[in-house]
Order: sequence, then structure tokens, then C-alpha cells
Amino acid sequence: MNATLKTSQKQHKLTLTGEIDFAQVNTLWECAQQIAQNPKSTLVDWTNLNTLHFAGIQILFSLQKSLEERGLSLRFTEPNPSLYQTLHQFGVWDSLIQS
Amino acid sequence: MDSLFQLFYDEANEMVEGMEQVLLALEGGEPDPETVNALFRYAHSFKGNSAAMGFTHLSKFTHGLESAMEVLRKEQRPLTPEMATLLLQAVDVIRTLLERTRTEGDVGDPNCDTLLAQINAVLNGGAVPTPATNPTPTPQPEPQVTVAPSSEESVGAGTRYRVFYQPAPKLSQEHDPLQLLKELTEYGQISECRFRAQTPPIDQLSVDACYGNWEFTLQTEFEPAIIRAILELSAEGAEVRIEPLEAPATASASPIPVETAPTPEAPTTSAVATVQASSGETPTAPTQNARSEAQSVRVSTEKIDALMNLVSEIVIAQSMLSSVQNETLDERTHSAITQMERHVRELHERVMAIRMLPVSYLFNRFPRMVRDTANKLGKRVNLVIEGEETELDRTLLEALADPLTHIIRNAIDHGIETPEDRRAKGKPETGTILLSAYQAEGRIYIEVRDDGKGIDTERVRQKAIQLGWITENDHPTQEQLYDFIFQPGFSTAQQVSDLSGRGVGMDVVRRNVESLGGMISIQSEKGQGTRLLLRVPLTLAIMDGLGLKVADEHYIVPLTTVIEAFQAESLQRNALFDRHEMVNVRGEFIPLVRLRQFIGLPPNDESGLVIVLEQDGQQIALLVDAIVGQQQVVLKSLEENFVRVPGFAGATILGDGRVALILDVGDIIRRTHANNERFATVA
Repeated sequence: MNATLKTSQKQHKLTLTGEIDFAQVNTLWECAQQIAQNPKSTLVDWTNLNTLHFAGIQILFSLQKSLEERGLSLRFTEPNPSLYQTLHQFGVWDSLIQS
Repeated sequence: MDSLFQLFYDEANEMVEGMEQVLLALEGGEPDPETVNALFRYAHSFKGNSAAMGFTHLSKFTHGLESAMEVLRKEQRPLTPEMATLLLQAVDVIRTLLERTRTEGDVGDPNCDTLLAQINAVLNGGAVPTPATNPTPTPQPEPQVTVAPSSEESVGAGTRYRVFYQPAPKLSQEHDPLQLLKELTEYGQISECRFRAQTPPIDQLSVDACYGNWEFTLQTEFEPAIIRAILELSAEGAEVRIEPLEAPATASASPIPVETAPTPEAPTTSAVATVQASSGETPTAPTQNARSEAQSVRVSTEKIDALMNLVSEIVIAQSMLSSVQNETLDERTHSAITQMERHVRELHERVMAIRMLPVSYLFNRFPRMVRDTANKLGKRVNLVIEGEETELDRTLLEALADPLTHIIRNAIDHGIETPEDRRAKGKPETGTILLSAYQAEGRIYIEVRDDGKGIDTERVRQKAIQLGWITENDHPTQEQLYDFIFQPGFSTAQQVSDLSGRGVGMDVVRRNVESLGGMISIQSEKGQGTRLLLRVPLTLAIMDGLGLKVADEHYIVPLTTVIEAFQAESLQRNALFDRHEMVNVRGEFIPLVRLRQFIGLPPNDESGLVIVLEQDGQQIALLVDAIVGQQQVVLKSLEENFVRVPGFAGATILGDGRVALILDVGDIIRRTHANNERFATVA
């Protein structure tokens, strides 16, 4: 599993690992829907995530928007350097963090 | 054909050939980052050009291939023979698709996906993605990409554009805008990149819809049409707007007007040319690329041929002018004619130089052929190429392709032994074929030498007996036995294969080489190997000739064959073996050929001139009535306009408008020596 969701009383923790291509994005989407149905502040742990299809990134943006509408936050651990480089280089990182 | 398309095909073929060569160089060796990068540069350029021309299937297949090969670059993996075979198959597919675009347009091939899946499985450890066009490689930091370069760093390295990119509305396995942007970094530097997310809340999100867009500065040597093609590669419906930035980019990220975007349907000629010019260079030397591009220009062969024909006519006209020089002319006219002669000669040489291409143009096709043929036959062959920088007329290069292919296939099939046989003979298991080219005596020599089993002359003799060409009592010389090999219908192969053994091939080889005014000879040693030597003129178009006269007719011999000339009366002649005459030139006996008799005229008295001619180390003495003088002549083919006539290489038009036949000195020498040997053997 590349996307796993753990829920505590205060928050969700969404752990993403390996490589999430387009076919695997559905798992992430299902996790995001679960979070949206039971909204809590959420930590995305993507330390061990190497690649993420843009569809997956959009899910995170979308989830962030849903949570913020309810006054909740979506936070991120430090990403894998190569993933960070891609996100940062193409402006996605700034947009994700600043929004 | 539209010149833009012709340019595309010329460059595309070079890139495909480049990919093939690089794969062959990488196969079985240590991974070399520079060579791997070269492979990606060829693939990138090919993909970009194909996309710019609207050949989506080609660009998508190459894109998939690139993605599959990413592991070679990132993990520095060696290219195993299994990988090489698959990747070479992919190159073949590209070649086929490319060829089909000429007649059928942008067509795909159902085998493409299967092949890509196989390649992915082998290169990426069994992970066969479905579909197999984008395996999502593990990204690594891209050293050539600067996140936010200062404007000073960017000056002078291509043109700066502000790009707006709204990806196609539908995402898929193949369509990942981030991957396309990463692709784009191979074509230039991206900086000041802004992403605008326009994602809805999660309950309104459609997973395969693309929200958001990018705006960034791109510094690149590639034309906007190429950039657009890359960003539109994976899916239809992307919106790309590109505006050149004249001054170094500022932090401004204001939207750019739509009307400045170039249309994708109208890629410019320079767009394609730029891709090609950059393809062979490292990404770190863009300014160097720009310089080398400015120093060369691609011209169609038709234009060069037209220029060459014109120069040929000027040479004839010049010849006419020169022929009136003996008449009374004032000094000024005489001087002008002499000066013009010098200029025409220089013009001829310069135009000839344009037609010259390095033989690597021809030789580069053989490593793949040797690899595939050897694999098919279960043999190991190392092809060594030397002298590939030697230059030869383009027409000759093209005409030599088939003969050389025959010769090299024969060397692998008949010459090189199996690894077991070689081991048993104490030879290295891997045989060697040396393919070399060099220039000497105003001619080009191409040598194919193998270290195989050599020619079994006794077997050749037995085969000739079996074919009824000789009897058991005949004992031909080694040269005569080798000559049988070039006869139609001769083959000593035990089995007919699709490679050789059908008794056609070497006769065609010799005929082809001779039709080029060349010669082919064989040397062989049983158990040690065989050497075939092709000797061809530098060019077929114009040559320096010596004009001769017999009766009232003019003839030409190539100046390169002329050794010396004597008054006939001054030479001692001996009649040997019936009608065969020899002349004594400073103690050396040379066969005498009377040109009058050769062309079927009755002999005259014993006066005239004897010209000693030499080709391939053999000489004849040619008896003629007179020498007219040295002149440049434009070769006209007899075969094209009439029929091939033994002893004559072609014809030319003289300055006074008359036609002169050009003697095929090699053929005359060969016939003369063959006759003499036969009589010597009988005697």
C-alpha cells in the first residue's frame, strides 16, 4: 500500500511511500475522502515518497482546501529530496505551503 | 517534397542512426554516462522534431522509449545484450514508423506497446506498466536545471521566453504535467516558475481532471514550436503560450497575451535545424552549438548535383576555349583564358569538396549488420573500423553500400569460424573483421579483412570442375581461381542460407565496383583469413585525363594511370606466345596493347607512341598514334545512355564538341594479363 491512513483522536496521519503513479492515485483519493468525511487536522508523511503523479498532488491541494474551509490544517513532513526538488522547481511546493 | 519535410527526414535519419550507434557502443561495455547522455540527446531531439512535425505516434513511442531507458541514465546500469537487442528493435520500429510517415502519414503500430512493455520489463526489473508508455522513473536532481538562476547566468545561452502552460484537461498515466515540465528541462532552463492551483474541494474533485496552470521563464536554444510540442506531447488540449523576452527576465509574472503565441502548425525550418545542430552536443555548451550551427548549412543533394552539372558544362566550355589558344590570340585574351582556366579548376575542386562525405557515412551502418548477422549464425565477430574520416564522393558512397554489405556478410558467413572451431584452431573465439579506408594515388582504397578460415583454393577448383568451367587436367593459377569466385553462379557454400550461398553476390559485387570505375581484388591464406581490396576513384564526375589519338578518333585515359611515354621506335619489342607482344622498358618486359587492334582497326606502320599505364600494380604499354594533351574531362556514362562496352569506362565531350571514349585501363590490363597467363600456362 502506498497510501495509508491512521486516525487518532486529534488528527489523521496520511503516510505516502514509494511511487504513486496514476493507477495508484485512487487509493490516495479514497484516503482523502475518508479524511473529508471525518475532518481533522492532518499530517502528510511523505518522507519516503519518491514520486507522485500530478493527480495525487491535486488531491492534496483539494484536501487542503476542504480542511481549511473548516478551519483545519493540512501539514507535511519533510519530503524526499528528489520529490522536493521537483515540487519546488515547478512552483508546486510554494503553492502548497503558502496556501 | 516540401523542403521542411526533407530537412526533417534528413535529420531524423541521422538521429536514428545515432541512437543505433550509441546502443551498439554501449552494449556489453561499462556504462559510460557521456555515451548514455548522447543516446538521450538523440532520442530527445528526434522526439521533439517528430512532435513538431505532427507525427504524434513517433514522438509518443520515442517518449515511451526514453522513459523506459531512464534507468540506464539514473542507475548507470550496463546495457546487456538482451537489453541492446530490444532497444535496437525499438530503433527499427522508429525507423519503420519514420519511413511510413512518408507515404501513410502519422500512423502507429500495434506492436509498439508490446515492445515498450518488453523493454520496461527487461530494463526496469520486470515491472511492466499498463499501458507501458510511462513507467514513472525515480526522479533524481537534475543538475542542468537551476531553480532560480540569476539573469547574469542566463545571458548568452539561448533565447528567453515567458511560457504560460495550461495542461490538457484530462490526466492519465501518460499525461503527468510535472513529467512534461521535467522533460522540458532537457531542452532549456526553467526559472521563475509559478504554479496556480485551481483545485476544488475534495467532494467536487475529479481525479483525472487537471486543475491549475504554470507560468515560467524558459531559456532555450530550441524554437517555440519544439517547446510547444513537448508540452503538448502526452495529451490533446493543452494551452501553451510562448512569448520571447528580449531583456533578461524580471520577477514579473503577469499573464502574457495570447496573440503572441506561434501556431503549432507552422514550425519554421530553423526550428528543426536547431534541434539537429544541438543534438550532438553536450547541454553544457549551448553557445558552442550556436556557433557550429552558424558555420554550416544543410543543402539538398539535388542542388549540389545541379551545381555539379553546371560546373561540368563550364569545364567543357573552358576546354573549348583552351583549344583555341593555339590560334592567334592577343596577349590579353590569352592571359584571360589562362586565368579563367585556373579559376574553373578551383571551382571544380571546391564543388567536388561539397560532394565529398566521410566514409563513416557508409561504414556506420555495418556495426549493426555485423552484430545481427553474427548473432544469427552463432558467431562472435568484432568489427574494427579504420579511416572512417576518409572522404569520398557521395554518389560513390551510396553505390558502394551494397557491394560492401555482400562482402562483409560473406566474411561473417564463410570466413569467420564458429567460436568452437576457432578455439580448436588456437584462435581467439571472437573473430575480427577490419573495415578500413584510405586514400592513395588519387584513389580511395576500401579494405575488408577477416581473420577467418581463408579461401580453400582446392575447393574452389573442385567447384569449377563440377560446374564444367575447367577440367581435372587444368591447373589454374591462384588469381584465376579467385576470379571464379566473381563469376555468376559460383558458390562453395554447403548450404544455402538467407545470408549467402546462392551463388549470387560476388559477381554482382565486382560488376558494381567496376561500374564505378573501380576494381576489386582478393588475397587469402587458408586458415589465416581473407582480404578484399576495393579501389575506386575519388569521384565519378570529372577527371584529369590524357587525350590520345588513333586514326582520327580521340580517346582518353585517366591521368592517374599514366606512367611514361616513349617513341615506339625507341623500344625493343619481343613477340612471345604467338600474338602476344612485350616491350622492353629499361629491362622490364611489359605487355603491349595496340589500341588500333583493340578497337578493331587494321594495324598501321610501327610508328607512334607507347604509353605505359599502370593500375593495381600491373602495367601495359599502349601503342597509339599520338598524344593530344592533358585535359579535364566530364565523364558521361555509356551504360546510362547506351550499353556497357568492355574496355571503356565511359565517354566525354571534347572542347571542339566531338565525343571521345574513355579507356577502362583496369579492364584492359586485366584482360591482357589474363590472356598472357593463360598462354603462359599452356606453354
